[in-house]
Amino acid sequence: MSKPTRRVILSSVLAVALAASSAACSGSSDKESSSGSGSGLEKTEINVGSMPVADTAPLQIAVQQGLFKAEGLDVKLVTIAGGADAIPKLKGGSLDISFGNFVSFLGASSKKALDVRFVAEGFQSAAGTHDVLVAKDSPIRSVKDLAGKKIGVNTKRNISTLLIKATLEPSGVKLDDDKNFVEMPFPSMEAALKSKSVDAVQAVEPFVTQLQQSLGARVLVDLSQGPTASFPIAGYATTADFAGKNPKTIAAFQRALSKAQTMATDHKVVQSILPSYTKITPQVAATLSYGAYPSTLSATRLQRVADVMQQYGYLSEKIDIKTLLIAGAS
Amino acid sequence: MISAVSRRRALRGLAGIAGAVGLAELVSRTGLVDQTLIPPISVVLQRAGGLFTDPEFTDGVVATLEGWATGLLLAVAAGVLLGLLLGEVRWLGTAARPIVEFCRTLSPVSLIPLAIVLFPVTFQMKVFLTCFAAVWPILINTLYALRDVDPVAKETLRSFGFGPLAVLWRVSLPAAAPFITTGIRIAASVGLIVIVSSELLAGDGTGIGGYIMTTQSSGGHTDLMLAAALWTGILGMLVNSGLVQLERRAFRWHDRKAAA
Amino acid sequence: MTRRLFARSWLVVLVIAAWELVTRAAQESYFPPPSKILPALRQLWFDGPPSHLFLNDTAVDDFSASLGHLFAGWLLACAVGVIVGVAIGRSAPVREMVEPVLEFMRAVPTPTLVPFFIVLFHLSATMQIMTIAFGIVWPVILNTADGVRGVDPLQIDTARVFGIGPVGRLFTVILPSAMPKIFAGLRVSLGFALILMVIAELVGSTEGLGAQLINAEHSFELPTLWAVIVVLGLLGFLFNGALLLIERHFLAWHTGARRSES
Repeated sequence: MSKPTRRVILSSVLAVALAASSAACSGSSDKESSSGSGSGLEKTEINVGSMPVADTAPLQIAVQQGLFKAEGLDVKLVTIAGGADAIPKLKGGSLDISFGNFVSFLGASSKKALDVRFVAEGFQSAAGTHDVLVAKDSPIRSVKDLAGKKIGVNTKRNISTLLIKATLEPSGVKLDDDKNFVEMPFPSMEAALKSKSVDAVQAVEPFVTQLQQSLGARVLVDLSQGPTASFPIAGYATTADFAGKNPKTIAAFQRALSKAQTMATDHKVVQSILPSYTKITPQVAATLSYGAYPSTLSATRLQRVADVMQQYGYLSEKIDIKTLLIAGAS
Repeated sequence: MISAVSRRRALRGLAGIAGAVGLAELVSRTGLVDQTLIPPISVVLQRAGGLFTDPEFTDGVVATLEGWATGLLLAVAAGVLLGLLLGEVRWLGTAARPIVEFCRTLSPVSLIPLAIVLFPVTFQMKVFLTCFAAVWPILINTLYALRDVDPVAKETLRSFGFGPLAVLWRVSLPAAAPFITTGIRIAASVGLIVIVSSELLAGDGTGIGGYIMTTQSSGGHTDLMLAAALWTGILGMLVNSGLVQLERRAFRWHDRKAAA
Repeated sequence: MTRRLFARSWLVVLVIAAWELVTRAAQESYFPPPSKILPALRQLWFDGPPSHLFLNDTAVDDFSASLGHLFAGWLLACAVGVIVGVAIGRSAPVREMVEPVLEFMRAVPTPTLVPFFIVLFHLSATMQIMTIAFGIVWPVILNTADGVRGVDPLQIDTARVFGIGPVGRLFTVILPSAMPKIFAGLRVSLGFALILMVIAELVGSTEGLGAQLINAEHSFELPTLWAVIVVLGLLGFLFNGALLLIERHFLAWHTGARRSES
């Protein structure tokens, strides 16, 4: 084959590939905004951010048992990596509603990163759901021994660090957000504890159970007690913009979810659905600790989160939670 | 059809792979590395085999490949065109240099939150990050290659009355092509890494990275995670050798000049 | 002199001006204008005493940690990469045996291996250095091998005729001839190293540029986030410029020699 011919072939292949790729690119923009159907909803198809954790079991229940469909909603679940990821996605529009922890949402709201509106509560801590664990042979015996130590958390300046600070400070242990906390994903905590890279970790289920079973890790302190007992952890939020434009859609979402949250108070229901959307096996699911799934949106409960955040410096000023709630859940 | 040379090459390659696997298994079995934290390679290989038939995983592979190919092709187009423009138009190249050098070292990972806000469709976000990461090796290699072109050949052609575009097409590009292709190869591997990383860190659960994300967040399944990483490596390897074959065939004339 | 400065900077100034105007008009919290980013930058790292180049304590901690890891990893990768690249480039059997394994290792995305490195090296400086080195050694090997393979056989034969042994040939013919490609590999890998440095610091670090980036992202301090990104870009720019100067010094004879080849 002569040189010019070869060049021509290569360049035309490139041109064809470019054309094909731009076609594929526009073809994959799957975000259509469908107009409301006869049910009067502004939008029937919505993208909801979710995580494969026990907290979002009611969301899965509502999808799998057709509760959303009954309200005329087609809910598309989108997996997000962590609570903080919801914020840019809500802002950019790839998510309409998202699951996330309250500390992230309130932080974003106060820093004006996102105009947050809360749709529903999702999960409340209970005994065993949020623990601080140490290695089996650790010299740390009480919370006072944690002074000056390094604690591994999933995300800094978040619900984990807030709960730890709120639990430890009454005992006189003051921790610094930058120096005493080390950020790491939950699966890395086992290795970190074992290699003594950190002195303790803060974990949620199923990692609490897992660390105990595989490492013999000891629970140093349960974070759901005293000032932080039954603490609202996470819920569902949207942007003020979306809420303003789609009130009926949100109300439908709230109704369906509320029914599912009530169903989830029976832990057996959560246990049976966990393996379907996470890699938690039924055997492990039976041994986990479960929190509470509130079915109403309570200003009192959430104001508590905002106040505790302000108390420990996560918020620079007081937030009146009522301005951020979308009423009408129940 | 398989020549003795290719057969020998394949055998040697297999020997290398076998050696590496054997070494890894040995390291694992002798307890140098904690077995509960890092499963031995035999377990990982088993899982990898299982993944091959897992539709959730194979869907992810297809999704990743789509995004990768799109981002890479866009990067090739942009990188070569920009490289040509900046390489040949001196004053523009000088002016753009600081900007190129600045943007080149921006980590796509740090741009993730910005990309999410800019591109509501996750596919577009992934493609943007992939393209952004992949364009620089191509651009840099294009610039370097054009600079390294034999000036005598260029001047000879010009003295024969050929215009600058003809010189570009007949001398500069063919001479630069092999090195540009090396750049594309580097860009391809960078692109795969970036797209899987962005799926892992900020995706919506699609793609190989999305698969790893789901397995990771609900209980350390290190064996599944390593198996998925293994497949990504194999994928990258296949694409790379594919590109090498293409390179070899297209630039046979160039290889003949230099010793093997 | 001023003419050259102008030629290099007019586009930069234009771009920054446009950036300020566009972001002010857009009023988007995730894209603050440069006028907001600069004060955030100052507050983060540069409100120290003039005697310290305005660097405050946080700056000293962060920069020494990150840059230390970066250079250790980069130098390690360059040393290993050039050695391996030369070995591969010159010997076909070695190349054919090692290549598949190499290609495979190169293609595995580093973030997926970070937990693996954490187990091996624990959360420490070693882990970050090894993560960086592991990630960037491949372009160095690749480009070195490429450069070594492309050496003009005439020059090697000439050296052989003159009785120069293999080691001598390596240092007087092969390496110098492959220098441009090797340097290209070094430059590319320095860019990657900066990127990997950030990725390595995303997990388990309390200081460093990557740690500050994550901090800013999670506390929604968006001007600070941008400030860190800008500094990262500037660092890359500076390092690249430094490498270029070194390269120009070493390769001055190369472009000159080519030109006189007629």
